[in-house]
Amino acid sequence: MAGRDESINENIVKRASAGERAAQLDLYEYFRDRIFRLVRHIVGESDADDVTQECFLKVFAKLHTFRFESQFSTWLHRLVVNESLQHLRSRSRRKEYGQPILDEEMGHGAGAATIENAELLEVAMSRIEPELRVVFQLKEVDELPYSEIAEIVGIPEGTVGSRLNRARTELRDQLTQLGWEP
Amino acid sequence: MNCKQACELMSAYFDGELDSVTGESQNEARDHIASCEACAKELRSFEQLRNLAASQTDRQLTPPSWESIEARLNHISSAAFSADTDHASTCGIKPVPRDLPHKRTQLFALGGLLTLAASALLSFTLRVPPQKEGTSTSQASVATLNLQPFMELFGTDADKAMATLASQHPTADVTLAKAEAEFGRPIFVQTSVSSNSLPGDAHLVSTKLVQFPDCKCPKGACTCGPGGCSCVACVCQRPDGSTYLVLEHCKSQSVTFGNLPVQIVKRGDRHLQQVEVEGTTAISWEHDGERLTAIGLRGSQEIDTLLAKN
Repeated sequence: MAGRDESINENIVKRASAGERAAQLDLYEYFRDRIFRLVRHIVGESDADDVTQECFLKVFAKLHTFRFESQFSTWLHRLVVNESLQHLRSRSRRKEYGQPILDEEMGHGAGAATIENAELLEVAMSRIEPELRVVFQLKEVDELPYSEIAEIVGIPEGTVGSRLNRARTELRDQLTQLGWEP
Repeated sequence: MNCKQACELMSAYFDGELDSVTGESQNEARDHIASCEACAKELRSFEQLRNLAASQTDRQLTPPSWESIEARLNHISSAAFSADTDHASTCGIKPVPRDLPHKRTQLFALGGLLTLAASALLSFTLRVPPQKEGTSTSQASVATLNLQPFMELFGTDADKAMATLASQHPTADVTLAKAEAEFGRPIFVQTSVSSNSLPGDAHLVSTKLVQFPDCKCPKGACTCGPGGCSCVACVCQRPDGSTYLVLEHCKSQSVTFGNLPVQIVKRGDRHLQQVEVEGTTAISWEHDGERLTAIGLRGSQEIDTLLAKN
């Protein structure tokens, strides 16, 4: 989204990079909700807090490597996505994530009418591959163009569409199994 | 365009990226979808997903607090700092003692002699930054007290932990009244001691004056001692013989718990740094212009009791 981090100027990034707490706080408050939401959808609710903290610690530690050649938010998102996926890989969490909690309570379709749609989406998201969650989230929630998604995820721009096709169709199928009635 | 081609391009078409990304015409896809019910249904499902995703942005978010991140940033900074100064420590550079009134120096010296035998089997990490040229010792002496080794030892051998503490810092055993006189104000646990309501039905077994390295408040703002900074350590013993420690020290004395996970917990109007190790809890918080640290508490009930009574 063009201009999405217009209030994050070079001065703030440099001050934060130098360790100035006030500037780090500015960055944190500006991106906090967006990053937390993204992390939560990649790693799951239970790890989201820890991983978000880790992401911001890593952001502050690596700020000096940001060269102002791309949008700061793109750089930040790339780091967060990598960190979150790395978290999943290192802890082999994919099979654990999400499934025991709501799945057992809900079954497949049973009682789904009482479940909030947003919760349904979270369960469905937990059932698809992390890489698909990422592109879906970046498109549908962060509303990023394909060019920026490609840069964040590290794939060719032309691949974003096909990955989004998979994400959407698999999500829809999972939601249908959960009893989603659009 | 057939259905297979349309499905492959469906997301790019839906997101308005078709021309720019694939070179395929948005118009061609639109014409096919308009004449194909199956593809139109696929497209509608994408729209429904988008609406569903939009609903999640309305959900209440509880991202981590800035305080929790800042605490970890501070810890990282001090750890890096410690690494810088570890070499200096092994070269014999030690924190410079603060000037003490003569009487108090004697008191500490006596305590120091008594505890000399308790040599430092453990190393409490005392972080002293390199002094800038041209600055005096008192201006440059900034040290973070890493309580992790102390906390870990305290959980298994409180006496040994206290002995090690005494070997690291000038320490003197005093009565509560003496501590109060030296401290210049009521001791934090005084109320609980007087009313026999210390957490865990404990009783006070020892009171010590301890001189920490960075107790240097602005002039007139010091809360721990009329004649010079000193801190108070109260050891409390439960009926089962286990103990906990309540440290009362200057707010300017920064404290870390090493690489133990620190949570920022709000209890009442207090924000506590809270650390759990094998069933025991340490908390540190600012109170009325000073810093308090309790180590060895058991469970939230003891924390609440300690906070409520004081």
